Amino acid sequence: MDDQALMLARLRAGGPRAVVDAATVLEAAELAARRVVPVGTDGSRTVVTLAWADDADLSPETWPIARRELSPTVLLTLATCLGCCWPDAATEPYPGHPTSATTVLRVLTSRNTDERWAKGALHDLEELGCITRDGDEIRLGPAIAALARTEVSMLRREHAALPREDRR
Amino acid sequence: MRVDLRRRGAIVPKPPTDPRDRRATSDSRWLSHRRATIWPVSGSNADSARQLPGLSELGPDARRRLGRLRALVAPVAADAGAVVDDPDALEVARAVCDAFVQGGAAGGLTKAQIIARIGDRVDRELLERRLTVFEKLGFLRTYLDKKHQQRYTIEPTSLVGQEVFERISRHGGVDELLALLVRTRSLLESQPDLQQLTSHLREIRAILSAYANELDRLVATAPLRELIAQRADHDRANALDELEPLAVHVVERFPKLQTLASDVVEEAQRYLGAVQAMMARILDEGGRARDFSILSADDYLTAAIDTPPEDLAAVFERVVFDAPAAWIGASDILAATGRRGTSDRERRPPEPAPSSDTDPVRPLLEAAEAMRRRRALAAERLLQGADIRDLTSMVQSLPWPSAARLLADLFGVDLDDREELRVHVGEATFVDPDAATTYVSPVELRRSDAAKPSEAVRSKASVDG
Repeated sequence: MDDQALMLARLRAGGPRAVVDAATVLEAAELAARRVVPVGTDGSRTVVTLAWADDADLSPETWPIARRELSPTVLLTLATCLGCCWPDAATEPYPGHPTSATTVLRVLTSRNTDERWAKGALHDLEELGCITRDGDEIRLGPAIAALARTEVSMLRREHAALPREDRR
Repeated sequence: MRVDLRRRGAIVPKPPTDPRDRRATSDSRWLSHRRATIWPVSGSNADSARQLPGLSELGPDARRRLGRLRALVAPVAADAGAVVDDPDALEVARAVCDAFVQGGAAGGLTKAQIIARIGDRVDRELLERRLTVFEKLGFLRTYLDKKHQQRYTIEPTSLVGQEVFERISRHGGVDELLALLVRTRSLLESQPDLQQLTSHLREIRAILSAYANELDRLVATAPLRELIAQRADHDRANALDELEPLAVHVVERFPKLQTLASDVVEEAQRYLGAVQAMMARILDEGGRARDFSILSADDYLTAAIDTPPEDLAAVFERVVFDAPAAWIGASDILAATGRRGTSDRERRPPEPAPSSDTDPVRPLLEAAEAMRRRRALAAERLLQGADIRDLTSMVQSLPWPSAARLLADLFGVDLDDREELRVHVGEATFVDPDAATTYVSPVELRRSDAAKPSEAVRSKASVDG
């Protein structure tokens, strides 16, 4: 198996991974209808994750894969994390700014969300790679970096609707 | 009562002395080593029939079938060219046989009748050539044993031979082996003759030995595609499971045949081992090549139903899957906040600014409207203020292009719902060779609220009708 295919397989199966040169996997990723998104660094190496190519047709009719749907609470928690970590719609959502779990929970409870459910939702979002946590600090995760550009465009247009501390 | 020959020591296969015998004892480790070292890559020129002269231009299936026929006929062939090289020749023989079994052939058929009954099923020139050969070889015989006989009958042996050729060319000789097994069992159940029984067992042993050797050769040298083609010939090998009880029965009845019966069982085991080795190689190589066509849809269905889950899972041990991920869509996120986002694709584009270009359709619409008005005014002029007017004589007096134009304009007015004028054309036809328009039906123009077609039109229609 060539190195590109092996690296692509590792990225698909294992998620974000540090590579010496992200360009080495670009061709294989393109063949698999993916694009390579840098999400950070690990020393001198670049940490990358995979996202679907912009022209990939992921409609359920042509791509009949089972999809895990998120619950409304998890989605609202994610919206709040986006609202708190992505204050300027003119910028890209990832990496955004750090916020705190306390802030996110405060915003959510102010919107009548049960705090225990909100904590569970944060846990789910961390597992899904939508956020990373370091103690109380919350940052947006690589899954947000991998969002399709059309999705980011839609979020940017409705940016004001994302829950955040100064807006109820 | 079932007798275990191995336990009694009556039939004991010889210990393996060479690699092929070891394979027959199902030493899988040795098998895998052997496969890894000497199996050829797909496409190597190990197709045995391909090496036969005159067959290299044929497709694999035809080559295999004719190759088998050559081997079948070899014992009685006068020379190496005794068997046809054209696969269509088999179809000709089949067509000739069919011509004689259609009925009405009791008094024989002439060559012309045979050719007529076959029709376009085979090439005419080839058919005539083959009929000459069939006549010379006695496949076709004259109805009367006299000179200049034109009517022919078919030798019954030819029909049987045709069946045999068909069966062996398609399936090899495994069917004959199984038929021989059935005959041997029947013989044993009646009043068996020792000499005949011995002959049957020797024949079975010889055929099994030849098949085992051939399969050994194929497994060692043939490309995958040829193995797959051979597979169907040996898919009834399990019928040989009955051979061991048969051998036990033979030994019980004729202890003198113990050695021969033991040899038969041993050759059967070797043959079955070779079949297994062939299947193992097909599955191994086909699996490595991800060739899903080597198994039928039924095989996959059976595997899905009968195979333990862990074995099914093993198929995908080396297949890469994406890590489980949730589907995160902006519209879902926004919906959770109470806002329904609309995608770029769904959003309606802004209305374009008014164009300063001239509307290219407007002049056409204006021209069409002008023409409608012109037709209506012309029709009104024809009515001359009346509600009904017979236009037959007018149409008759106009030269043809003008008459046609007038009628077209009138029908245009008639079809326009905004106009009150309607055109009625009678069913009669006036023929006047001297008139400008020689054939004319009565034509009447009237307002739609006027009465039914005038008496003039109806009377003309009734006179001419």
